[in-house]
Amino acid sequence: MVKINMERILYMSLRAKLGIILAVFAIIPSFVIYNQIMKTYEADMVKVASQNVQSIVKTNNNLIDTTLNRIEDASYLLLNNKDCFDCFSNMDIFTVSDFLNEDRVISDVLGKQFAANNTVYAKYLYMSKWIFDTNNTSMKPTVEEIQKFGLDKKAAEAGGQVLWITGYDYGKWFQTEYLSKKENYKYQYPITMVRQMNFQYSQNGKLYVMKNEQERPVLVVHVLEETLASLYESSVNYEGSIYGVVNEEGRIISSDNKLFPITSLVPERILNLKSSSGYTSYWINNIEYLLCYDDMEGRNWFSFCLIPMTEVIQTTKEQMQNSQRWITMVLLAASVLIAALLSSTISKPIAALTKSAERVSTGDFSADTPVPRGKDFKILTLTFNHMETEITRLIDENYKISLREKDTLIMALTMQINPHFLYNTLNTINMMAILNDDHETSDLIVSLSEMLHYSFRNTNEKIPLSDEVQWTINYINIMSRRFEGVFETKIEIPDELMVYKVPKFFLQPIVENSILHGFEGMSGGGILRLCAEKQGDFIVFTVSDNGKGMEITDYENILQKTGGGSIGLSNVYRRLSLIYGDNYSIELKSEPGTGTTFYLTLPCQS
Amino acid sequence: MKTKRLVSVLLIAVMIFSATACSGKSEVTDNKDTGSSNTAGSDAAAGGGSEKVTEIRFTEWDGGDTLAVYEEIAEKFNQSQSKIHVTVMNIPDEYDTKITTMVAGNDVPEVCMLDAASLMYTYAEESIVLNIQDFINKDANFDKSSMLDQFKYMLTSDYMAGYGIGSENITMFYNPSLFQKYGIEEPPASYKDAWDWDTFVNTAQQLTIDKEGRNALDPAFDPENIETYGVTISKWWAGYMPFLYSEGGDYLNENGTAIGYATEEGIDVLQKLADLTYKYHVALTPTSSETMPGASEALTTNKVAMTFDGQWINAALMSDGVDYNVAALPKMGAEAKTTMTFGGISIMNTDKADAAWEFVKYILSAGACEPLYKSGLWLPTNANEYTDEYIKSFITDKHPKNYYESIVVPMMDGTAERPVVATIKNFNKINDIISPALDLLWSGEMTAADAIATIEDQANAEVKGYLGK
Repeated sequence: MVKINMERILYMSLRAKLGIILAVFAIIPSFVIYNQIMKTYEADMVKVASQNVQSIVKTNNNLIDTTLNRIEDASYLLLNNKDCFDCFSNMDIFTVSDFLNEDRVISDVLGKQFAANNTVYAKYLYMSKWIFDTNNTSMKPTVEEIQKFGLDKKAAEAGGQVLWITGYDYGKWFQTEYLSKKENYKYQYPITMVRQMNFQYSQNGKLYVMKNEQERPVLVVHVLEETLASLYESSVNYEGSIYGVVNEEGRIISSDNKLFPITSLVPERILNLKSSSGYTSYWINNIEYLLCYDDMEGRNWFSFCLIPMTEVIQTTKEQMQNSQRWITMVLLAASVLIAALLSSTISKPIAALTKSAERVSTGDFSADTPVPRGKDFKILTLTFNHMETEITRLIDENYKISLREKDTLIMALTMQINPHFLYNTLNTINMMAILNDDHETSDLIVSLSEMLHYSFRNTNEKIPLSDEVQWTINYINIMSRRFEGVFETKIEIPDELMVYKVPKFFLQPIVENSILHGFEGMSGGGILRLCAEKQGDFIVFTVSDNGKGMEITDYENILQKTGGGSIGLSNVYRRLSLIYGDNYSIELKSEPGTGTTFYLTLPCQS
Repeated sequence: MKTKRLVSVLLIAVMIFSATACSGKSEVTDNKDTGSSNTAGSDAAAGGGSEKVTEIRFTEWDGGDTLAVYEEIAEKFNQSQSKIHVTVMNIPDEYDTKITTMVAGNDVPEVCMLDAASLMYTYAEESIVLNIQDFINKDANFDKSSMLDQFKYMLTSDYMAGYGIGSENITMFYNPSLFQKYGIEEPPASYKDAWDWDTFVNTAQQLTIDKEGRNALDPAFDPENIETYGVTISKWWAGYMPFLYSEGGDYLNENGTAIGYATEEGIDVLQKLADLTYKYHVALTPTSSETMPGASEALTTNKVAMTFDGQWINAALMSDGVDYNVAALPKMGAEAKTTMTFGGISIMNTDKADAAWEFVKYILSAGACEPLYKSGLWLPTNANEYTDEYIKSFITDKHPKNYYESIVVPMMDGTAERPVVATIKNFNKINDIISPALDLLWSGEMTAADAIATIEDQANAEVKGYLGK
């Protein structure tokens, strides 16, 4: 599988590969950077959010405190109310109609007293005989209910001080069967203030106080839990945030969630944070929450807010991810674009080169591939073109060499036509010449047979100069018999040169040329000179005659080394070319009537 | 080379981009906390931007479901047009005090629910409450026939100070299970078949049970230890008026010169009601009232068998799914009667009175308050809503069985009389004089005749006759 994938990748186009590489190189750093930044920011964000939320909790606490304080203040001011004093200090002598009548008065007083307090749901003054102002709400407590709850006793214990009774279920604590069964009614979890009202007022320097034995009424004020909740509701703008207010016992008195039901005790861990302010992390059901808390000093209450930790950084994270996604998209698009552009700067010259390679494969070495501007491909293309030129040159050279090789081969084969047969035949002729007592002929035949023997015995291309000189002398011997008296031969070759290797048969054709052509038509006085001297790394052979010389046309004929002049000479030229290449030279000086001189320069080879 | 440079430039760009992106983020989070408060402000600003919007306020005292419906109506009204924006202002406590304060402070709300007895007519006399008739006359599009005379608050014959909204009848609620338990016939639904007073008293006696399980007809009956009361009555004008009407009386005498309670019929009615407590022991004494829970609780916990009260109790009983029923009030005279009660909506004298009229028109239009008809709280006050079809559409399964017969029909056949507050001049003053006298009656300290005699002259001095004439 991996292999197949690897193969697939390998077979991808350059553009795809480049795109993938660019994308990988662009995206990986962006992810790494994103993660790094998130890590650093996360701690920061949590801190900022914690401080924010904590300050919100603090503000809410202040708000709750102020709201409740206003109710306390109203109750405080009520203590000096003259109407109330008059009513409650004369209670003992009241008839039923007085109660009915006073109820209207007290209702009016309470209404005015709490008129500015929108947060109050119900307020009434309780006495064991009568409850004043109970007709304004659907909450209509009875004397019995209040006594069962012990509201009057609690207020008495507080001794005229404000007492808040919180975190209780109204129906259960007031022991009303009807409400206990009822689910969800408005005042199920009221925040209740009670205060024993010791009414008194002073007028004209006289202080009026209630008699000691007089029953003190209890002011009861109910604030709905929903009113309290509205003070903090949606103050914390995090999805899934949980808010709770806890009373002095550690009971939830207001809450916006089911996790902390009202009247339940808060977990120990949260309770321990009471009477302090701050934030920490808190786990519920394996979910990490940010817990911000603040205490309400005077009341010994406590508010807390829980925010799922994921939410704290969620919005920021989302925005980060969003921009991350954008960056990635931009980078991907950029990679594709760059890959396309880059690959075109690579693939275009490569395409040109590929085309050229195809052209080359058909044998066309025109070396006309256009040279691109980019440095790398400029060199490559130039080299390619250069290579083509070189190939053309090499082919040319190789072709010529192979042609010459063929020539040589054919020549060699021709030269080898059964030399033994010839040799044996010559011996037979020699025997006949000896039998006929023709010693001259016999000598000639011997020379000839020696030459033949030499020619086919030694198959090496190069031979010592001494051998070549011996061969030439043999030839000259034969030719001097043929042209008896026509020419003399002078040979001046230093012995030390005899050891150098020279090509076979290179002197004889030149000598032959001088004898056959130079002395043509002469009857005597011809001189044939054969010299050799060492000049540096070269040996210069000079073959000269004083024969009839040549016209320039003949000259040219001979100098055209491949031309149709003497077969022997042209053979020499070609062989020397093959053996030495350009490393030899042949010169010819000739003038009609004065003779011809060959200068042959060969490299010294031992 | 080129490519490398390009790649490095790209990488740097990425880094810079992500860095700036991050810093941008933290600002966003910071803003978030203040966001909620901003949006409210900007919404209002946006509303005012395009076109000049007239902002008006509608004040009312009802909370709970009624407030929710008012807010829904306001919301629909705001959406129905773009020139006027109405805000519902809920004042649950000390309503009159606050409205008075606002008027005194020249911060008059444009539309107000007003209590006819206390503020509406007083303000109308001062022209602080405008004449709705003027707006009707100006507005050619308004369907005059949708208004019923009984709901009009007429200061004079041509000055409409307000119009009733959400009519609520006084009716009888009863606990059928108690009737079944003692094998007593349930009260008739229709006012035509209403019990006469003796039948009613007799029934109440049978249903009043003491600790030992004896009823009030039993000679050994212990009135000091009553477990179940036969009836509770409403001790305010709306609680007495149905019976006074039944005996052919009214709040004032026919000439409008003296209080109706002081008439023979008036005294008879009051005495008969007081007798329920002190003679027959079937109703609560004021003191025992202090041990009695609220009406709906008392009814459902078998503390009382029958209750004369306003139909607003329906809402709580219906939503609690209590097994109860309603019936016609008994008659003391020839004809069984009841009374309507309703608040009035008034247009206050402000620069934006025309906009206020548009909203008043909207809230009075057919079907606007339907949710409150469906919750059993209200009856329609728009004539077009009194069709059999429409009435049937708002009576649900949760409504008590006799709702139509005992509560809706009286509105249509004249059994329910207009609330006295809408028709009596100087009502509050007269009432304030009468109330303490009635305390003496309800406390059993005096007979009706004696109690009324103590204040008759004082009350008659305040009688100013009927309104709208």
